[in-house]
Amino acid sequence: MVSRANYVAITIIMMIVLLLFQFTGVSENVVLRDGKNLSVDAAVSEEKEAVQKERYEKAVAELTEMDGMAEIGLVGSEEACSKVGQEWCRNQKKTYRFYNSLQEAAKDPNCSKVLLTDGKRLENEEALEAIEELGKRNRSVIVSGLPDLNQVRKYPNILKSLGIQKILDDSLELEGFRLFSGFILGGETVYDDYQQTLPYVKLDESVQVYAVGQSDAEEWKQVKNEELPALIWRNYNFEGNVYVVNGDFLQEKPGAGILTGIAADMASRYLYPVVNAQVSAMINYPMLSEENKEVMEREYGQKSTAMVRDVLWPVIARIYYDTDERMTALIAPRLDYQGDGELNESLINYFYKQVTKMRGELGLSGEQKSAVSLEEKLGQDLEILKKNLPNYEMRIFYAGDMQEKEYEPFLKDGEALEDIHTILRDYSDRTEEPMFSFAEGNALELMLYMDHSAYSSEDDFRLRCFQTAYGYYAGKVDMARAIYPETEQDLWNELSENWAKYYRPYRERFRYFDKLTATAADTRVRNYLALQYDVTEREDTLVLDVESEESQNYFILKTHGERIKKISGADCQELEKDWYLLKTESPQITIQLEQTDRSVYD
Amino acid sequence: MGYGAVAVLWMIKLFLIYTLMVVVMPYIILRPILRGKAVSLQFLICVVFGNFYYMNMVLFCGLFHITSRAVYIIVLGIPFLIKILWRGKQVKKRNRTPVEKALLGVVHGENSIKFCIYQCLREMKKSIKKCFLPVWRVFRRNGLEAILFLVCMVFLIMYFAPYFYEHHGYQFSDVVVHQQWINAIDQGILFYDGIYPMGMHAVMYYIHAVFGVHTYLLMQFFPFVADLYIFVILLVVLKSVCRFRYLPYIGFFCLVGADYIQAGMLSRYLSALPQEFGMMFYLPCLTAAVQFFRAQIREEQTLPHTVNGRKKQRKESTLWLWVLIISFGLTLAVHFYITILAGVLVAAIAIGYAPYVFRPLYLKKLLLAAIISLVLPLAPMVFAFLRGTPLQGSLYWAADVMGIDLNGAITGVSSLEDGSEMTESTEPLLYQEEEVDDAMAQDAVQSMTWQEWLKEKLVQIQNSRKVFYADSYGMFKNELTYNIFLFSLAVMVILIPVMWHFREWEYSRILTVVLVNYLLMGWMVISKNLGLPVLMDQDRMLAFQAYVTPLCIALAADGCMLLGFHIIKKELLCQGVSFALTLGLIVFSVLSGNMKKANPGKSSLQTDGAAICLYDIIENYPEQKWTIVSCNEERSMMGESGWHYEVIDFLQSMEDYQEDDRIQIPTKYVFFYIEKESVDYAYGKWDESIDPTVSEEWASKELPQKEGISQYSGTNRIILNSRMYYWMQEYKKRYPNDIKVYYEDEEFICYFMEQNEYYLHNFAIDYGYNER
Repeated sequence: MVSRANYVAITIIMMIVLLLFQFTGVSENVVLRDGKNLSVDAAVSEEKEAVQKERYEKAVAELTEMDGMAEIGLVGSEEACSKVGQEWCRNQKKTYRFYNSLQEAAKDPNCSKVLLTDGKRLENEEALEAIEELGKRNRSVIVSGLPDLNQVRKYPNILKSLGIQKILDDSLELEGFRLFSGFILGGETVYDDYQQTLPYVKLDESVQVYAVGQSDAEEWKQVKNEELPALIWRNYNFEGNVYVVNGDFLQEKPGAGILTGIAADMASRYLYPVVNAQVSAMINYPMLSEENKEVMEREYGQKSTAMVRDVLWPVIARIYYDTDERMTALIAPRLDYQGDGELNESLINYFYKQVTKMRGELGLSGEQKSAVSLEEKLGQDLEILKKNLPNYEMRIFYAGDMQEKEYEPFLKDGEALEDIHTILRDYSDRTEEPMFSFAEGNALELMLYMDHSAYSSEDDFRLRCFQTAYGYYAGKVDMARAIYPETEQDLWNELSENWAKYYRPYRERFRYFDKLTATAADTRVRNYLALQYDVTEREDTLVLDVESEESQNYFILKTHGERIKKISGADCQELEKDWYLLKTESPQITIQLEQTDRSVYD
Repeated sequence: MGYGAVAVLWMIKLFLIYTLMVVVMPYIILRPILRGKAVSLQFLICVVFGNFYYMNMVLFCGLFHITSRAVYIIVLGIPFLIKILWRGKQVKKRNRTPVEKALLGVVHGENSIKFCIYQCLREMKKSIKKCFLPVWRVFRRNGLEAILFLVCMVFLIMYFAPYFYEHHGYQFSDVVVHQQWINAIDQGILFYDGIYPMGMHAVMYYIHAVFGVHTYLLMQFFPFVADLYIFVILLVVLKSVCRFRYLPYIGFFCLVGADYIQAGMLSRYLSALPQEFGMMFYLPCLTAAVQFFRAQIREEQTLPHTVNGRKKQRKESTLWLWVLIISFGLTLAVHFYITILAGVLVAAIAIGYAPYVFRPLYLKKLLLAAIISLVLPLAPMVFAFLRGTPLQGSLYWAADVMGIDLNGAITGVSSLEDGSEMTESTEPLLYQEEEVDDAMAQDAVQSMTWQEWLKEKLVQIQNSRKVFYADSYGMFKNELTYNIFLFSLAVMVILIPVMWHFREWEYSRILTVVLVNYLLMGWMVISKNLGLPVLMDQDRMLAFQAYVTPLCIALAADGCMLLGFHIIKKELLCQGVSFALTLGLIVFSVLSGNMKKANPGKSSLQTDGAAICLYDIIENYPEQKWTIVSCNEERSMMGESGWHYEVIDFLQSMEDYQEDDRIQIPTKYVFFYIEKESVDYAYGKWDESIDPTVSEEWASKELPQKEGISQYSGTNRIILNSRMYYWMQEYKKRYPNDIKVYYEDEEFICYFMEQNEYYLHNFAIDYGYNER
C-alpha cells in the first residue's frame, strides 16, 4: 500500500519531470517564434565596427612609420615574398621597412633584426658580404628560393653562407615532401603528392632542417635521411642565422605560416595574436525552387526541393553534429532565375528553425546558374526572404569569386546589401588580395580557403600554414553541385561522403580553435585586426600588454622546451608540444614559464 | 622534492618488498613448523628458507633461459597452491569456518550475498586483529627488550641510511659488473661472464623481474635493506646463543652503534656486493647447529616415546639440520669466501661438539647434510659448466690467492673481484716477487732451530697485534679497546671449564665454538704477517672478524652473568642487571660521544649528480629512446632502458675535424654528462697540485688514447670533460633553442637535446680544439 503522503510526493515529482521536458520544447518555440537571427548577439555593434576599422588602419600605418629599428626588413617591394611578408607583418603587428637591397640593409645602423629577401637577390659578391656582415651583427636573413645556381657557382662562399656544402642537382623533380613537427602547427606530415622542381643541395653540419623531399621511388630509398633534398633549413651564420626556403613557399599566401614558423624558431619564446575561429559555410543551401528536374529525377528520383529537405538535410545535420562545427548556411532561393521552377517558400521557415536549433546562421548566397544581373537576383532573393522571415537580420553575403567592384555598390546605404556586415569570398592566390580586408562601409571580407569535399596535399599545407599564422580556418561546400552535378564527384552520395570523411584526418587536429558562425568569426577577425600588443621578456617571465576594444583576445605562444608554469590574466591551453593558445581576460597578462625537460632533483 | 626523499621512499619500498618475500610469504607457508618457536628463530628460518627458494627458482629457471615474470609468479604460487589443497583436505575433516559456511550458504541459496560479505568483513577484521595480536603480545611481554631493539635499530639505520640519503653513486666498480650480470638474466643468460655464485644476483633479479624495480635502483638502495637483514640476523644469532635476554644487545650495539669497532669495517656493506650479502647466511649456521644438537640430544634422552611424540621431536632436529644445510649452501650460492668462513665455523662447531660429532648417528646425518649443502648450490654451476660455460675470472683470482692453481695459469681472464681490480699486466710481476720472497723465507727457516723459530713467531704475533687496532684500517678504535676485548676473550677461556662445574655443558660448548671460530679467524687475519699461506685478503678477513666480534663480547658478558646466576640463583635480578649493563653501556657511549658517525664518503666513480640524472632519465623517458654520452659506467647501470655513448669515442670521431665528419646518435633524446670538476676515478681526492675544473688549458691537451679504464682516470678524465665542455659551448651556439641544461650542480652538468629521429643531428663540429 502506498501512503497518501507518498502518493502526493510521487505525483509532484512526476509533474515536475513532465514540466521540465515540456519546458525545453516550449522555450525553443518561444525563441524561434520571432524569426530573429540569434547570431546577432555575437556581432559587433555598428559604432564599434567603425572604431575598430579606424584603429586597424591607424595601426597599419604606424607599422611603417618608425624612427628606430623596424622588426622586419623586406628587401624589394615588388617581389611576391615581400608582399607575403608585408601582409604577415600587418596581421602580426610587426614594424617593417623596405630595403632596396641586402647591402643597403647591412649598411643601415638601425637595420632590422630579420630580413626577408628573394633568393634571386643573392647572385653577386656584394650580397655575400652583406650576409656575412648581417650575421656578424646578429641579424637573421630569410631567403625565399635559392639564387640562380649558375650565377652562384662563381661565388662558392655564397653557398657556404647559406649552409650548402655542394650542389648535387640543379633541378630535381620532387614528388612530395616531409614537414617535421614543431615548425608549424599540425605535427609531422608527409605530403606524397606535392610536385615541385627545385635544386638538390648537400648541407653542411651546422644546419637545422625543417622539411625534406619525399618520394617512394626505389632510388630514393637508398639515400640517407640526412642527405635527402632539404626544403627549409637554418644555417648558423656567425652570430645570426640564415633561413633558406628552397622552393616557392614564401611566394604565396601560405608563406605567412612559414614566416610564423621561422619567427618562432628564431626566438626562444614567440607570442603572437590569432583570430581563433573556424568557419564552415554551406554555399547555396537551402535552395528553395524546383530546378534541373530531369537530372534530379534521373539521379535521385525526386524533385530538388524534396531532395534538399529530405535527403540532403539529414546528412548535413549528421555531419555538423559529428564535427561540432557551427553551420553558416547561405541561402540560394533560386539558382536559375531564368527558369520556371516552382518556389517552395515554406522551406525558408523550416530551415530557419533547423539551422537555428543547430546554433547556425543563415546568410545569402550571391551565386546563380543563370545570367541575370546581380541587382535583379538580389532583389528577388531579398523579397522572398523579407516576406518569409521579416525579422531576420541577414548579415552574411557570399560573393564567391566575384570581383569586389561587382558587389561593392550594393553595400552602400540604401542598397540591397546595406545590412551585410560580412562578405565571404573564395580563396585567391594573388598576394595582393589579403586574407582579411575591409570593403565598402564597414563590411569585412573573409576568404573561404578550403573546400570541405576535396583534399590534396596542397590544401593540407595551406590549411596548416593559415592555422599557424592566423588561427583561422574557413571552408565551404557548394551544395549547388548536388543539384547541378557535372561530374560523378558532384553527386550527393560522393559529395557527402567526401565531406564527412575528410574532416577527421585533416581538420580534427585543429579542434582546439573555436568553431563559430560567420558572424561570430567576423567579430573575432575585427578584433584581431584592431588590437595592439607589446611583449616584455624577463628571465622566465613574459608580460603581454594588450590594447583592444574587447577584453577577450587570442594569442599563440610558441616555446622551445618550456611549459607554462603560472599565468595570470588569461586562460591557456596546450595545442601541441610547445604550442599554447592563450585566451586573454585582462589587458595585462603575465606568463611564467619553466623548462619541460629538466630534472626535478635540483 | 630532493633525491634524498626518493632514496628514502625506495629504501622503504624495497624493505617492504624484501620483507614480503623472505618473511611474510615463508611465514604463511611454514606456519605449522614455526609454531611454538621464539619469534627470532621464526624470523631466521623464514629468511633462510625464503632466500633459498627465490635463489633456486631464478637459478634453475635461468639455466633453461626462462626469465618470464609470469613464470616466477606461477612458481611462487606453487607452495601456496599446495597449502590451499592441503587445507582443502583438512576442511573436510574439521568444522567449517563462518566464511566457508556463508559461502556455501550463498551457493545453496540459504543466505544472501549481503550476509556473506558481512561475514567475510567480520572474519577479515578478526584476522587482522589476530595478526597484530602476537606482535603486541611480544612487545607487552618484552617491553624492555623491545625498547633496546628499537634503540639498536635506530642506531643501525642512522649509520647506514644517511649515506644512501646523501650520496648516490656506486662505491665499488664491481657493483656495475654485478648489475650487468643481473641485467643479462633478463636476456636469459644466467652466467653472463662465466660461472660465478649468482645467489645475490638471483634474489635481486627476482625483485626486478616480479616487482618491476629497475636494477639501477636495486644496486643503489637494496644494500640498505640487505644490511638491515644482515645485522638483525646477527642479533638473532646472538639471542640464540646467549642465556640472558638483554646481553646480546651489548655485542650488537658495540658493532652498529658505538665506535669501539671502527666504522671502516662496515664500509663495504654500503654496496650491493655478494660477499656482504652472503653474511646473512653465515651465522645462521651456528644457530642451526646449536639448535640441531640441542634437539637431537633431547630426542635421544626422551626415547622411547609415543609414536606421535617421537615424530614431533624428530621433526625438530631434522628442521634444524635443514636450516644448517640451507644456510651453508646459501653461503656457497652467494660467495665462495663466505663458504670458507662457514667452513671455519663448522670446524669450530666440530671441535665444540666433538663428543657428539663422531658418533655414528650424528656423523651419518652431518655427512649427508654436508653433501646436500654442497650439491644444492653447486648443481646449477656444474650444470652450466658441463654445458660449456667457462668459470668467471674472479674465481681464478680467488683460487690463486688461496694458492690453488685452477687452470695452470691465469691467462686472458680479467679479475672482477670486489675492490681489487688487478690488471693482467701487473699480476705476473707480483707473482715473481712473491715467489722470490717465499724461496728466501724457506731457506731462512731451514737454517734456524725450533726455539728460534718459535721465538720469531711469537715476536711476529706480538707485532701483528697492531693489525687489529691500527689507525686507519684496524678493527678496534685503539689499543685500549683492543685490550678490553682481549680480556673478554680471556674471560671466555676461563668460563669454559667453569661452566663444566655448573654442568652447563651446552653453554661451554657454545663458548668453545665461538672462541675457536674467532681464534681461527684471527689466525687467518695475521697469517700474512706470520709468513703463512694466505687464504683471504687481510682487510676483508678483518671485516669478517668484526662481524662476529659481537658474539665474543656478548658471550663473555652473558657467561659472567650466568656464573652470577648460579651463585645467587635470582634470575629476575640477573635479568635486571643485564638490562642495566646494556643500557648503561649505551648511555655511556652516547654521552661520551663514542658513537659511530655515518659514512661521509661519496663515490669516487661518479658524481652524485650523474647518479641522480640517471634515475631521473630512467623514470621519465621512454625505454630505448635516449642516449647518455658520458665517461661513466652508465651502459650497465641503465640496463636495457637506454643507450650509452662513450665520451672517448664521441670526441675521437671528430678529432682532426673535416667537413665530412659525421657523428649521429639515433635516439630522440640525447643527454651529455660533463663533470665541471672531474672525479678522481677510484681515488676520490685529487692531489693539491691538480685543478680538476674544466678549462681551456686542459681542453688544449691531446686527447687520451682509448685504453681500458685509464682513458677515464687521472688527468685524462679532466681533459675529456674539458673537451666536452667546450664542444658543448660551441654546439650550443648553433642550436640555442635545442640544447637545454637538464641538471646542474657545483661539480656536474647534464645537457639535454631532443632530436628529430627522422633527420638526426650531426654532432661533429669544429669546436676549436679538434682542428687538424
